[in-house]
Amino acid sequence: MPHCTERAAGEDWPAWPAGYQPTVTLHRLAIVAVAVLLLWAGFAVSVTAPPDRSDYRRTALQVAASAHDAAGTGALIAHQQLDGDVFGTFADAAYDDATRTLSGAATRLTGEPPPDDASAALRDGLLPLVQEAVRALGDAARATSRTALRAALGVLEDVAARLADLIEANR
Amino acid sequence: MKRFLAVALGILTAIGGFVDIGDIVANAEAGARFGISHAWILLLGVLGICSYAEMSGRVATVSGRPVFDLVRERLGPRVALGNLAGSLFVTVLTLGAEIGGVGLALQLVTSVDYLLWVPVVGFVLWVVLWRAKFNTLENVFGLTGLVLIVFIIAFFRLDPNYGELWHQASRPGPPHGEDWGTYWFMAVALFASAMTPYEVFFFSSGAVEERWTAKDLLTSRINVFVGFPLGGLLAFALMVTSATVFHPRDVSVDSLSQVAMPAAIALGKLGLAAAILGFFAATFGAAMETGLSSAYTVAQYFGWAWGKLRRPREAARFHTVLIVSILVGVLVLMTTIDPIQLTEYTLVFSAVVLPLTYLPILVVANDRGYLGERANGRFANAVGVLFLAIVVVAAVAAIPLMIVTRMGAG
Repeated sequence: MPHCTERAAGEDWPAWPAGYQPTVTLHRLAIVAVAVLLLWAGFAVSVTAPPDRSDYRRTALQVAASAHDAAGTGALIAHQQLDGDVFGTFADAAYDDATRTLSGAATRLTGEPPPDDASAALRDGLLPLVQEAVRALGDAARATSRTALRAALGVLEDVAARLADLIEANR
Repeated sequence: MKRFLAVALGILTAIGGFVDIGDIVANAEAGARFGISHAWILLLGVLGICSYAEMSGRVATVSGRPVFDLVRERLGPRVALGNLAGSLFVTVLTLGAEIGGVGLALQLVTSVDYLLWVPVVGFVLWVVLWRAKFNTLENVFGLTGLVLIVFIIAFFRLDPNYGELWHQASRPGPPHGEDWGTYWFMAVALFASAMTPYEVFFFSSGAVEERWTAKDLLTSRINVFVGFPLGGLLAFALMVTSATVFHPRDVSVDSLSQVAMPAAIALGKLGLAAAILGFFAATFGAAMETGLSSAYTVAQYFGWAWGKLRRPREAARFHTVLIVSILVGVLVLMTTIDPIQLTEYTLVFSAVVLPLTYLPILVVANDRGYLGERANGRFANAVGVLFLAIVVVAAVAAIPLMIVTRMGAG
């Protein structure tokens, strides 16, 4: 067994192999630095360029999908609460998760100005639905009675259905 | 009888220990968005990890030395440094993701934000790794992770549409509303979640820690070929329950609370409690494995004394790397990056560095100088080369797919 040493597992290695030298040269470093700079410049250009119509539509549809996910998940949690299948701390955490998803979606939508009228119309159709979903999620999370929870559930299901329609219509 | 019990325990811990935050996130996300059309990818990943874990286990049991130790000796410091850099980067990121997963599981039972749990989890993790015995750790968390079986029971209680599921599994491809780019992005993430590099380093170093010899080769193989596929079944249960609950509603999964919901819907509070306990055990167990793997790889590369069986004073540098890895994992999370998002990035980077991990293992497993007649035969090499080719394709495709699909968003 030519490669085996007498060293037992876990014991210290002998010294580094004779003649081993790190060979990173200035030339190589310069190439790497230029490559990193070019990548960074490309990244900067791509993130700072104003969105065109198709970029905005893609973002809006992603926001709609996130809002739909949050509303649908909120409705599922509310259902489970009404059936007594989840404990309070879980429901709180799950509503928090869904609300965080929605808040992120709303921020993305309001953070980008629409590039044209068609994009503005898409935003105007979507934003009220997102806001309604935020309100309904908050109502469900705070509900202290079954009646209030049922009411919030109804709104969440309705908003989720309308968001699904909006996504389908703009796909 | 004692040996039989030891083998059975090994299998059970291998099953429970297979699932980690990457498997939980990737399988639940894939199930919600694509149904079970990625089931074949999961099967491929499990076969791949079985193939290479068997090689690692064989190398460790026959030579009495872990794979990384031999990689440096066999391939030299330079090649091994590439291997070390890639796998360490991904393993420490994975450690951060696992700690975040523990925090999220605790948040589900306490309502206290996971960020407040992260430093506590990091500290407890360090104490446990410092004080507890290797076998105890492996058995406790591996066995507790078995409660994820609740997702298999939940699947049957959910009254799934078997015809639809069969349709999804037998005709792989993107459903309405998704495209091939996102389908393949998810496929790469799923494959990487099954073949995470730390698993082979931990498996081979663990074999040395437990002082396995060539006589334990059968035990090692049974653990791999029975335990890992059954662990893969738990991962599949996460995918298929998510596909049953969320896919028909067209709802994506992006939080741990959502992953637990199928268990609650099917089995009520008891099912939910079991699911959360399973998440906790799976992520904490994986946090221990990734923490130890980080320290194993560094210590074995530099030839330092290493191992849980040595007193910390005798392996000070090993334990220092362990502490630093935990600290880095905690600090990454304290940037407030979402642990689920961190897991997704980790899976992509993991896919990129997979060849750096698996090529050296294949080389070492072929070296008769170490393994004698136990070196790879034709079949093991054919399977190894096939999976290496798949691993290379996944590695090359990972970053372009990440950019083109905007991290799978489409």
